Amino acid sequence: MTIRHSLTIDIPAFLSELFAQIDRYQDLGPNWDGEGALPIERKVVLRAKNLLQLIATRATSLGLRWENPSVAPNPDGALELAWEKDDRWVMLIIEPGQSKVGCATQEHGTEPRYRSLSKDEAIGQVLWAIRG
Amino acid sequence: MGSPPDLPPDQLLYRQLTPTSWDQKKNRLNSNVFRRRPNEQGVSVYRADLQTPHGVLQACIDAQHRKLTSGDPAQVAAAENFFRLYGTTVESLVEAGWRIARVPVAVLTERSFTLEKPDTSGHLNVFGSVEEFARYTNELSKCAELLTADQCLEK
Repeated sequence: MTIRHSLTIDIPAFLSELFAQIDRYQDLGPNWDGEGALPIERKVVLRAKNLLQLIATRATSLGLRWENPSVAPNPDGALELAWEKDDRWVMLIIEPGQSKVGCATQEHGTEPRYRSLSKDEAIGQVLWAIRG
Repeated sequence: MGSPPDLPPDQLLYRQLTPTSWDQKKNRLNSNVFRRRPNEQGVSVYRADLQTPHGVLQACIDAQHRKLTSGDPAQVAAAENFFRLYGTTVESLVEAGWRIARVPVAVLTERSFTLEKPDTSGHLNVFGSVEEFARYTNELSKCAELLTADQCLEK
């Protein structure tokens, strides 16, 4: 089942609630954290939605069970998407003005890693995490 | 390095949480609670023996009032937006979803983060690189306890 969304593309129904949540972050404005946080810009929102759609499509095509990530803004005007399954955790950071995606990962018993990745590499990291 | 020599490892610290820092359906912290901004010295916390949860949130409100009277239009607009979003009292902040997380100091020092001495309000910065905080934010968030609304209103 798909529904029509403001991106004017068909998105899976399981992403619609998440996209609505992301849309609301655009309304926060400046200083939403009381410490001078930057507003969440539309470009960042669109990049996050696009990335989520790509990840969901790839995960579905691979037969992986999809679970929506937790999504939160950060004070630098970025959106952070985090998945955790079994012992694997990944957090993608979509920052304004950056083509690369920040990516923190951890697998149980190992030291966490932080890297700056291309979109495709970031998608690969999420698929690794949600395979569990 | 590490915590100041007089600080026991079980010393508790408070970190203020915006409504987006925790999952209100699952009542748990998001994994991004301990993220450092590149333009800041460190991650801001308060010593639990020197400040109350209510006091932490009141300090945040007081900071907005200072912005309102700063004469800087950008600061004034920022403070006005804050009050538009959350109201002007600790009670309204908590109602809007602001909370406090509580974490033992050892959770930070065991991962090589260092702490400065607190000011008179109990406020201090936890030092570490932006990348180190990004790496460890999930672990740190898991070790932190989310206080209830009632606990956040304790004076």
